[in-house]
Amino acid sequence: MTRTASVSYAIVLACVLAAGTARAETPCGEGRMKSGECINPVLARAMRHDAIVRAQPKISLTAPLNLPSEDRFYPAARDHHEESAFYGFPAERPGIPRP
Amino acid sequence: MSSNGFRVSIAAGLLLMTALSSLSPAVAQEQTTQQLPLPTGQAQTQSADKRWQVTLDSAWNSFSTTTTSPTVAGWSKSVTNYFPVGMQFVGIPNDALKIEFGLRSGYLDVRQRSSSAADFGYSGWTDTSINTTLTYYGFDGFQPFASLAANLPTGQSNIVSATVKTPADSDVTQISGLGEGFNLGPTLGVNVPITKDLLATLSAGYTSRGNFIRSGVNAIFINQPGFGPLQDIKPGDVTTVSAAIGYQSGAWSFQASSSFSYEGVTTVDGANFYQTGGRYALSAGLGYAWNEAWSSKISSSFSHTGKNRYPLAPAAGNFQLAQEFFNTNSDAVSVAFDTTYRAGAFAIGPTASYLYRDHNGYDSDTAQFLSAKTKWTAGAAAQYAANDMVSLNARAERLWMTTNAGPFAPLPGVPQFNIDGWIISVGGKAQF
Repeated sequence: MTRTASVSYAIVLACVLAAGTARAETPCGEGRMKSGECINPVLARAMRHDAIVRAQPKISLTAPLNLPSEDRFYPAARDHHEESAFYGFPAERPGIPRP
Repeated sequence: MSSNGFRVSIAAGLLLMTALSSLSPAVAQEQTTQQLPLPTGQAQTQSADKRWQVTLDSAWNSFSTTTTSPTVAGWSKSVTNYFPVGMQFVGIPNDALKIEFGLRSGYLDVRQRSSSAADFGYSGWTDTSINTTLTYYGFDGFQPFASLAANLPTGQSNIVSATVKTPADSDVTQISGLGEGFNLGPTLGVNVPITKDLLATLSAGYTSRGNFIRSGVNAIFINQPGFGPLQDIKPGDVTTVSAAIGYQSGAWSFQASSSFSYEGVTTVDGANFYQTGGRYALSAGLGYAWNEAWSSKISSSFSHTGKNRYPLAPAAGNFQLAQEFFNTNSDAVSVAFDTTYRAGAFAIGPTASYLYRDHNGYDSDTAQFLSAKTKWTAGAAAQYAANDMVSLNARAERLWMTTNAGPFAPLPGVPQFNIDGWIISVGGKAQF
């Protein structure tokens, strides 16, 4: 697990180091197309954050990765059986799922 | 007016408002951020000369419900006050790199009353999540990003209060339980622009979930994992891949995404407990700005989870997993619709949503599926931008929820429950 996280950051940091300092072109905000044209920054930022939230559907059951004002836009994946096993009463016993 | 009549009135009002707004001439759209079927918060961009930005975000959310049944005497009431707080830091150290850091926690106060039991309640902090994302802009044609998120167990997983008997409904509050263990989740992804306004995004994430303690069965005379006074639960790790496409230009915006999650085995006291089936999720949203003042958004989602696996014969010491015959999990469909009227710094509009679950679970004790669930909400949302840095938002929605209703209900022997209530939210956001 720790190795996976380390590799993730190593890749990005390697890219940063390889890039060196800032490019001479005018900053785009959220990067460029192959042609060099700036991409839509609003769309790019929203898509990136959406992808991260979707890739971590069970990172936290009480503290999602978005700001509170964005809760309506990121309805979390509800696993009712898991909620029952984690928080139901009486506790679920192995072999006898309690809905 | 009956609740059905009220809902029809709301729907007719939305259609009329939409039709009237379409009579206005379409003009060049300046408020595309409001039509994107994604958070308006995400729509905010940083100016090139502002390389560091901090956002503070908080709200008071109140969920109050009353549950009754046409066939079961009595009632129960639940009031949940939820105070989430969040912070986001965005930095651009150079033109090739963006660093984003997010932190979120919250405080819960749950009060429950019923006609047949004593009042009880619980107050406490939720867990805290942190998230760091690095995005690299050195390549023309694609922008990779890496993220590392964590759940810090600042909440309570082992609640002694009787509130644990009936935790708040996550279909209402959007939060499940009161706390869990330490989770760590790296994500790798990439934005690939097809045109400057049409992007594809691919991502893959892994969530390592830590163990936590909860109250157990307390049948200590049974020498078997999971039957002690406490249960040591280790949730299964989750691997998720997702793909999405998004478009935004002029008056139109569109976004569609899909994901698949594979979950590992959840254990209790070191023995196999269950393994949740694979989960597919689809979602799509469409936004349109009718004119400079009016815009509308509609979004929908669908999710399906496959059959779980359970131990074959734990009483005999056999914890080998086998797939269940019926699917314990439910499919869920949701649709949400918003229309916004904006005049200067003020915006207001109606909002409505619908949720349907085909069933909530399978009870092996009674050998039947538990009931379906239908939820409607309708209300209004408003936002006021006090200045360039501070904005306030408020929302009020009426809630109607019914269990054991729907195309395949009612199920024999399962009582129907009607849950009516209100969802109130007041919040603010400041950016520096």
